[in-house]
Amino acid sequence: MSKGKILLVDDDPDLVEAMRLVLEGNGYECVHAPNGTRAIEAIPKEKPDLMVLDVMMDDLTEGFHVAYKIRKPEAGLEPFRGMPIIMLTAIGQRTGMKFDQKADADFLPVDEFMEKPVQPKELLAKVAHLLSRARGGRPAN
Amino acid sequence: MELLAPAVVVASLAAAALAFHAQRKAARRCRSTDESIARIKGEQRRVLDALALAEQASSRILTPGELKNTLERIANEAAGLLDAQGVRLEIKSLDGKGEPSILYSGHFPESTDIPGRPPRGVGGETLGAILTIPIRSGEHGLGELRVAERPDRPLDTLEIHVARLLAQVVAIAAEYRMQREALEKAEEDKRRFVLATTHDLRSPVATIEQLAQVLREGYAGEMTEKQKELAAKIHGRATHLLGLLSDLLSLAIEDQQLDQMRPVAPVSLAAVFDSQIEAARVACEGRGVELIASRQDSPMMRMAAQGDIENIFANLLSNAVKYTPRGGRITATLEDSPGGVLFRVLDTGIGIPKDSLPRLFVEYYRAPNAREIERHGTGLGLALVQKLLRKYMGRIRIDSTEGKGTLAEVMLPPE
Repeated sequence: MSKGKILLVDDDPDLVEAMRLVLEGNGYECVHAPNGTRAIEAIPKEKPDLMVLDVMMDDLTEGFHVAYKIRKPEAGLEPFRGMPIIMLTAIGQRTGMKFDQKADADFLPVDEFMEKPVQPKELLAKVAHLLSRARGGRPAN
Repeated sequence: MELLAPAVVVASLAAAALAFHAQRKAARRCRSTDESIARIKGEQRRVLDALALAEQASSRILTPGELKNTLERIANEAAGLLDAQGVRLEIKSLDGKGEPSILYSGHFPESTDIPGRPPRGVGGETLGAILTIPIRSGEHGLGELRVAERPDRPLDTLEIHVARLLAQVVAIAAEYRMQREALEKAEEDKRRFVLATTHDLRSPVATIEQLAQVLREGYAGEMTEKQKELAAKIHGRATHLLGLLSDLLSLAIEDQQLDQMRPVAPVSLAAVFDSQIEAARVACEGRGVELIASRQDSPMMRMAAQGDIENIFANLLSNAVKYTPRGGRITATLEDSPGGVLFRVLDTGIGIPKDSLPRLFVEYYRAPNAREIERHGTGLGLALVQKLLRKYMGRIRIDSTEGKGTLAEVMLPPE
């Protein structure tokens, strides 16, 4: 029994494989979309419980657009409006692009930010926490 | 006596007539002076109105926003001031792709040209003359200002001067605005380039680090001790390379002075000190180095980008940690003095050779003994600290004895 289905949206297949090893090794089911467009197509079909979303794919801000489409939400995505989203950034604090969930929540509608490379334990902890919060506090089984 | 009387009467009459005449003349002269004054006042009013219009036009053009609407307002106001049938301002503006597009604005009578007949408006109305003044910047044509006279009211000399003045003012303001926009676009392109490069450089290294970490932590299955050791080495090197790329990119960004990316706000130096000491403490414990930290009990506020201050404190602390052997001691203090806030890091580390001291702030420079201890340093830390301090009029002083230790002192002057 899977602990939840996670949609990994990233254009780097090797990074996806690393995250897949961590998540699948811990009882999650993973599906992959290589860009924003494919992610939007995959959501209604795969019905993921959570999404890990890269920011820069085909363009510098593709991930942000995907997040907006889910939260707004666009037609067909209504049931996924509240889906937890973890946003991944390859550039972080050093470049001045330091994201802060509290400060940026209004214009970046995601639940968590993580900088690549992610610490496996931290990723697992955040996924478990967000899934349990989305299920109304019930722990995943 | 009787003979004299009529003569006196005649003389008196003549005198009265003369006086009356003189009075009339004076009154006429007065009236004409009054009229002149009124006329001069009227002209003065028109000149002042024209100057006000020109001034308003230039400040409107320089205000960011839709240029077409701005030109529309200026043209309409000019038409009012010149009592013209219509005024049209045409400005060539460059779009994002460098293609010129002409912005027309203002009401202007459309004419229908029928050969052999005087031009008429589309509605059949008679048209007056059209005055066309090029809007030029040097040899470079930016557009033109066209004024359509009312058929029954030609422009006078002053109005023609006003139209010329307006065209010149619009030319200067429009050119300035275009240059500013081009500069902003270049800055934006540069910023996007740095972001894209950052991403392209960091991504593959981040993936190597990620894969190595997943491997060594056993997520892809158990490994032998030797395999784990090798995976740890790959992980370590990738982490180092990622740090080096970050330092390089920090420098590139500081060079670009992308101030807007790091907003300036009131920052408590004390709070930054506390959080950086906390981070350094973890590193010190891992290396068996004692860390003593103390600071004055006040927030010590400065207007700064928090990231800059963090970078300055973190760099000096991490240098001390890196170059202080096991069993050594680091003393960090922060205090407010009349000359400014003093941040001091004193260590009992390897110190810096005397002949290396002058080269410490040169990018990529690393003292020979530093290279022995920490093979993979970037030599960018102190160069970055110095660059950041310049932004805040701060200064850094390094005092060191090889084999004994180093004192790094940063002074951030009062605002």
